[in-house]
Amino acid sequence: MLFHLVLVPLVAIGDESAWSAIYDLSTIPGLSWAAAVGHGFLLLQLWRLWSRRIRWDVRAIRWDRDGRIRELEAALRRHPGDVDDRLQLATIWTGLGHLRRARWILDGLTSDGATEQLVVVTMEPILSRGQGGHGAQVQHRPWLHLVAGHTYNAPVAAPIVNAKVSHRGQTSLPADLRHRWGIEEGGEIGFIDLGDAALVVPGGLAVARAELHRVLADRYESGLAALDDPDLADQ
Amino acid sequence: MPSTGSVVIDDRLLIEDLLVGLASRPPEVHTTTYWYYRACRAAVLGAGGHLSGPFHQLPADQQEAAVGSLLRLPDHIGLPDPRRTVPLMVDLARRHPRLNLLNLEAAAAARTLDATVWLSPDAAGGILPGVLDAERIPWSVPNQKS
Repeated sequence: MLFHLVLVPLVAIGDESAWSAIYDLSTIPGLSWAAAVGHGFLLLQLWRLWSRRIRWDVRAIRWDRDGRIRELEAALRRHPGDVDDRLQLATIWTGLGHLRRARWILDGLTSDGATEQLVVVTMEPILSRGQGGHGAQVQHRPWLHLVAGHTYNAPVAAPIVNAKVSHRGQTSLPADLRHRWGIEEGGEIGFIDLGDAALVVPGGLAVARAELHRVLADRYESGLAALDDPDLADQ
Repeated sequence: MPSTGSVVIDDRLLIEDLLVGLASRPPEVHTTTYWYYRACRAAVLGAGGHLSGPFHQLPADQQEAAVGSLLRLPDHIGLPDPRRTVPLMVDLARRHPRLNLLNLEAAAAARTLDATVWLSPDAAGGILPGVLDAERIPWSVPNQKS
């Protein structure tokens, strides 16, 4: 049966007489119908394998993310509870367009009562190989950043969403984010201009400023030392 | 010449004012181009790639962009007009030839604005206070928030 279903079609691919022998409904109708069902099943499985894994692996390789994905998957096998690795992996799959896989990875987080604070969508420049040896080309594609922070238990219903902006500049914050950030009854968020994108910070700019102030308390002097310009030095 | 209540703050105090606010804020606060530039450059170089919280998983270059945005100078912090400070800097450089541009501009700005120079403790340990004293430009080290 295995020979009939798999090996014969593979060996005789393109040989019409071999296919006629397999699908001989007048002589061996039972076996022919069984072969048809078996081939249909195999094609379905191949399609599922393609759509669930191979297609995305090909895309990961194309966008040069396969190495990082393998690293993160290996790290998660060793430490399944690692929030940062899980967020990074989900971010990569989201950027590649495999939202179902990203969501599946994040489901592991939410069931652990894990953390997420911030969702940022940016347009990242990515170098792609040029056609016919014409060198590299820069393309832009959306990239999702998930930033760990507050504890929450809400499921991630939609990792990325669009929002319309009125002619007066008004927009709506998605309900999932309002719930997660605890501002369902209203509150404050901050926008930080990143050039090609903006960072949305729950709690307003004071949160971001406090974090920068905390880091600069330790690192401002090292930043000064890196300037290496006598006209900017303390004398 | 008495001070009118204006102050010129150095880069460390400028960072403090922009991020958490000064402990006591005079009615008019100014800084200088060089102090502002040094604050932004040192903050980007020092903090870029080291921020957590809302910036945690941003790439280093986007963290640097965020730092730059957070340190954008608001309108209520003044910058002296170079048309007025540069001739004074030339004059000061003749009397204090070892003073670098950062400190020359600070002294010239205070003179132009008839302001007091507020220095952070690190800057107060250098040669600028001596130059300010020689030029009869008032200066002090303000109390800072913890």
